[in-house]
Amino acid sequence: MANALAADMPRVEDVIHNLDDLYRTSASTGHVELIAKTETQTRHLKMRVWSKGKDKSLIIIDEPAREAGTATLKVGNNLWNYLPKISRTIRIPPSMMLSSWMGTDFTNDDLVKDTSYERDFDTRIVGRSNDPTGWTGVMEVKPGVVGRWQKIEWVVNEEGTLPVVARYYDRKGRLARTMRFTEVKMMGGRKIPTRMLLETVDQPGHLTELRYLDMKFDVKLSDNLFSLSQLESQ
Amino acid sequence: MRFFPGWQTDISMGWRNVGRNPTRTILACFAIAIAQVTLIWINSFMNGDEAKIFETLTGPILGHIQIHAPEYREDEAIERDIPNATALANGIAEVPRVRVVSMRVYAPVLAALKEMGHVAKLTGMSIATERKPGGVLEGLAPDLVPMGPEILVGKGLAADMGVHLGDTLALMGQAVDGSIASGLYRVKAIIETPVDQINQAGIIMDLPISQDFLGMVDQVHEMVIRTDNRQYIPGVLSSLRNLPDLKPYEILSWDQIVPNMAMLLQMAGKINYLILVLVFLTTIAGVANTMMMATFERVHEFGMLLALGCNPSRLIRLLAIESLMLGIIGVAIGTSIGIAFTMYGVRNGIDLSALGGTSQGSNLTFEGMSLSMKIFPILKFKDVAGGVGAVCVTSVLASLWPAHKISRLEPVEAMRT
Repeated sequence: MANALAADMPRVEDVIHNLDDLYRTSASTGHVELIAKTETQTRHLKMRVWSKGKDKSLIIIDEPAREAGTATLKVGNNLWNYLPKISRTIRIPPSMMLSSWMGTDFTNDDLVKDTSYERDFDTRIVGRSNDPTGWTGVMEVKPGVVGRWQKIEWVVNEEGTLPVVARYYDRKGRLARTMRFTEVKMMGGRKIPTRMLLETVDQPGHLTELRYLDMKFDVKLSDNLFSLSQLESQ
Repeated sequence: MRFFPGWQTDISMGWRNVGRNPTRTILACFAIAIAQVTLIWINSFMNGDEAKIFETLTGPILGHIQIHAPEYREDEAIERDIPNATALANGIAEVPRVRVVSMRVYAPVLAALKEMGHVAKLTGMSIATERKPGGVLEGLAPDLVPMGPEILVGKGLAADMGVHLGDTLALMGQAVDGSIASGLYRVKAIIETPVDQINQAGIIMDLPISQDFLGMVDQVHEMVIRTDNRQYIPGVLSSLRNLPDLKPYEILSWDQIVPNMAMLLQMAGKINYLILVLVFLTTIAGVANTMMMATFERVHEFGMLLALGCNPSRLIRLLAIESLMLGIIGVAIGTSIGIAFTMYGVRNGIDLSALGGTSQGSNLTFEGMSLSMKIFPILKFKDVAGGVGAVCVTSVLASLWPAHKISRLEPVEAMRT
């Protein structure tokens, strides 16, 4: 039985590699929809996104109309928000990194943090998961790594190629949030989960949903796209 | 006066005795006066100190009673607001003993002079209301009142950001519908208030401007109520809880909102009381000591009176009258000086930081509130009357005990002393 399990079990290195590079390519662009629900209201945002490597990304809100043009630029560990209503760019200070990004349950840190599961975590496959079906893995942060998470529990699919659920535990070992990856589709030549659902433990009733509407991977993007001057001329 | 034949003679004898040894009289009166001055002054100072702490804690931000949407205090989410705020506030203002109702809006914002954002807390409040005595902006000069898209910036935040008067700040926050709020606002004044949080990271906007910035329509996060006097808080609290329009909201008195501070204040009150008891005992002991010494010094004289046939009980009466006269004179002088001293403090305040020789300015930060080190004593009639009673009674009693002892001596024995 143990042999059978071992034979089925995906290799840890492959799983980490797959998770690290799930949405990451030399450069990508696409359209994303974000739905942020709280107890009292629901917000729909439609955005264009660009990213290049691990360090550069740009998000521009297209809808709703009153927020159209609002943009977020990430270069390295720096984050800027461009506010078209006042034509001003504000750099997010480090103390705001754990605050909400654009009023959603994602934090600024989620955008900036170039987390590398391979570099920052020790990973092991624990065994099979029945609900949802797949393999359960645990990532524990390596000593000396600074970050929000102490541990991430994963469930990956049978092949070990795609994430199904991720549970994030904070530095005190408390479950902080759960991310579900669903609606796996071919998009831009890749098979990816196109819908992500984020639930935070300390905000019951909140649900943030991220949908990839279309994506192109391995495209050519100029570095100029990820500059403040470009941000302000969008 | 049937029981005290010759009382008029006793009084005139007592009065003559008071004048017979001016040094002794002056010393006794001085001791009594000092006791009365100390009692009046310390009592008034303690009253002022306690009132100051209470006013500082409850005055500008906390108020006596607060109203919030349920769970706002646990999770200060911008959408947990009170709608139709103006009508509600008008209803509250009609409740008897309600002095003022302040409406507030709070939101975390990013403020930027140039590119770098700084974390700040935006407070929307009625500038006109808050400029009144007891408000956050009490004493704000008319030419510094923000009009339209103008803001007031706490001096700590202004220093961090390098902001000067007339600069324009970009503000970014989250509107009540979850969308991004942004705006440009001119810095009208850099302020220092009794609230340390505002000084360190606060931006103040007039209420309608802040509501417009955050996309709020007659919505607020907090209503702060001040009553006419501390003693009316429980009554007003129950009246508010009975108002049907306020049923959906959380209505709490200041001590329910900050129980730790309430406990500290209670403890400070007890410590003040203990100090008062000690001061009382010390001053009374001083009076008792002076009066007893002054009486024992006169054993020879009393022996002579007894030898001349003076009744022992009359001797005691004579001494009691004499002591009472001394007490009244001393206490009258002490009361006059005590009231004059205290009134000087009432008018000008007593700056404790000057007494401590500190160059740190005259404010102390306590629980996020900037506590002025300047105390304005509060003179109460009961403290003056209590001092008069206690000092007079003590001076009489303190002389009666030795008098009683002397009256039981053999005249010859007493005269030998």
